[in-house]
Amino acid sequence: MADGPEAIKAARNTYLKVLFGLLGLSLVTVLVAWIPFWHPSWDPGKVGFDQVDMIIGLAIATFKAFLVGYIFMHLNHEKKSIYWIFFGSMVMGFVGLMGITALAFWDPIVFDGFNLGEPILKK
Amino acid sequence: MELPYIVEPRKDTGLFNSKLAIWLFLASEVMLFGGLFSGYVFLRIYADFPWPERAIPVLPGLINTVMLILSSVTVVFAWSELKLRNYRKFQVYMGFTLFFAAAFLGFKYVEYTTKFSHQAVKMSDNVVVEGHVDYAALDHGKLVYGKDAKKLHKEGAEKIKAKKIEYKVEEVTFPLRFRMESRKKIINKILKQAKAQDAKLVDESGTEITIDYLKEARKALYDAKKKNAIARRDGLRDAWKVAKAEDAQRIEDGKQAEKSKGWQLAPQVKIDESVLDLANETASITAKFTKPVYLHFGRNDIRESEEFGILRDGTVVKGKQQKSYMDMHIDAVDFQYLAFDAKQKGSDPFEAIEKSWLLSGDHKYAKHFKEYWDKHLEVVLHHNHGLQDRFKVEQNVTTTYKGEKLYLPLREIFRINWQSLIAYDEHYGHEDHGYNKDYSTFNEVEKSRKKNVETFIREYFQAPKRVFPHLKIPSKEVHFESSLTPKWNNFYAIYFTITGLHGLHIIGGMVVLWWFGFNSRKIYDKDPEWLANRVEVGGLFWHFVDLVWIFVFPIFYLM
Repeated sequence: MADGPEAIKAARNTYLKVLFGLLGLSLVTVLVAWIPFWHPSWDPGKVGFDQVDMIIGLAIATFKAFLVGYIFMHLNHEKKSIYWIFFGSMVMGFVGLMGITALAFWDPIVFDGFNLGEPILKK
Repeated sequence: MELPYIVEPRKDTGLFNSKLAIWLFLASEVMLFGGLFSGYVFLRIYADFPWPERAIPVLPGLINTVMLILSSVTVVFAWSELKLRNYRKFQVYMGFTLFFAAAFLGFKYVEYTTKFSHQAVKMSDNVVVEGHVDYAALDHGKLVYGKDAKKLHKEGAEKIKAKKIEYKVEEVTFPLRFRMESRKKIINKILKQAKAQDAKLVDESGTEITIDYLKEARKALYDAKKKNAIARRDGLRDAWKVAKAEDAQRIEDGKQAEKSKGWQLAPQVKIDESVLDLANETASITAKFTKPVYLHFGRNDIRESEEFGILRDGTVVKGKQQKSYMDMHIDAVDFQYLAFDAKQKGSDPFEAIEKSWLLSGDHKYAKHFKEYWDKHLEVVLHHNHGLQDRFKVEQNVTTTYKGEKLYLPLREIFRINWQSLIAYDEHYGHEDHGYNKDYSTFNEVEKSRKKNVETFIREYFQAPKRVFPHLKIPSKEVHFESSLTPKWNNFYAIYFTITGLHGLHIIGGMVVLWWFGFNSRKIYDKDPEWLANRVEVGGLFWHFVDLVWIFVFPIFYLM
């Protein structure tokens, strides 16, 4: 924790750097999403949105989240117990809950509807 | 009372108490939002409709991202000013934080209201059009649209959203099952519309229908039910007495050895209802109008049929259904649903589009929409050739058109957005969209821009900015309609759930930060470190809100 006046002033420089980093990364995220419109052949994967774009977008977002957590939320010098609480909940929230969705993806819930006879097709 | 460990760290945890508490709270928040994001993934994987990719304008989202990042920095600066014991500067930074937060909410408000006012219609052949619903007016109780409505509006007629279903009603049947209090709105609407057309609703006895009259009838029904129940019970009791007496008589006469069991007697126990004095149970009241009356209902309030309609509360209106329309200005045509459906059936989407009501139906603007679509196809093919020739794109075919491979995203192929509609419209120079000339078209506004700024401002802000292609969709072509709200599809459901919850966090955070910034001087005077710790804890929450938005932005605006 930055406690002395000197240390706090030094930390503020870091905050400003992170600010510009975050703004820049936000812009990059948008530009990456708009690649198909200004140079389609640079667009990784299909033209337009696809899995590759998703991975890039979420990777940038995760890095931004890391910056906010590490610098702004002072996780760079925090007590061990906080890491346990926060990362524990991350594991539960993202790995655990996403895991349930993933489970449903591999073992889908199939529901044929209530029609018992001929399948009812919309015209 | 002195609160323990608000400045000094506790020995066993090494933290001051509120910090540990906020981290525990944030942990629960991570799981809350994690669950919702997981829900998003689930909905998207299993979507049985074309998921609206990049459907939300990016710019407001990007501005909001910037707002939250800036506010995150100002809040951490405010905290550092407190650490340096500059109270004034701390307040200034807090003020900036609140300003950015308010700006965020302002943009959110604009985004939300735009969605709420935007109408989408899915037609029976799966063609989706989006736009804004125009207003109809009442001419002697009957709905009129377009020019006629405009004329009446100028004379001061009431504006009615042109998405009603109309009947020429002769007879109404009110079931008496439900409490009248909950049905007042529906019944009063009918009575009000009848009154405006100088008609009265009278039942067989010649009494005029009012809410009080229906209430009395309902009371009479339930009184009769009660009375009849008692009469039946008493009649049954008497019948049992008779049966038992007969049974005893049989034993006395030596015809029977022992007393019969209840179940043996039961078939003999009968009551003659004609002997009982039963009251009349009238379950519904049927009333006739003194002359046929035009009634209109919300699309969600009635189950339609040619000859009658059933309202939400079970009230039945009998009469001919009139030709009613959804009168709209179209600002997007979306064939993605149709293409999605065609793909599942294994048919060619482009053929289905040509056959759709919008392009080949019996309506005035079919020709226009056919022209838009032809022009759009031309543009799509042009872009596709560009992709092949200029950018050498050769992989990932999305669909084929007359044997030609298309590489553009389906959204680009099957959706005509508002910018394109304007461009195509200018190309064909349609002037008649069913409206008077005095409603200036976009072209005219553009021309006036060149004249001078003053006329431009006058025309741009006083006249409607632009008349989009106009369409009257007959009621029977409408399969489903909604504004862009959770009702329209799961995308908007999860969008409003997550961003709405996030917005509530912003509001909560603003209250707390305002309290710390502008109502905590006493705490500062007592122990500045205490306030610094409070602000740090509040800041942690604020950063977390920013952190959630960092994921919300790409997920909803860019994917």
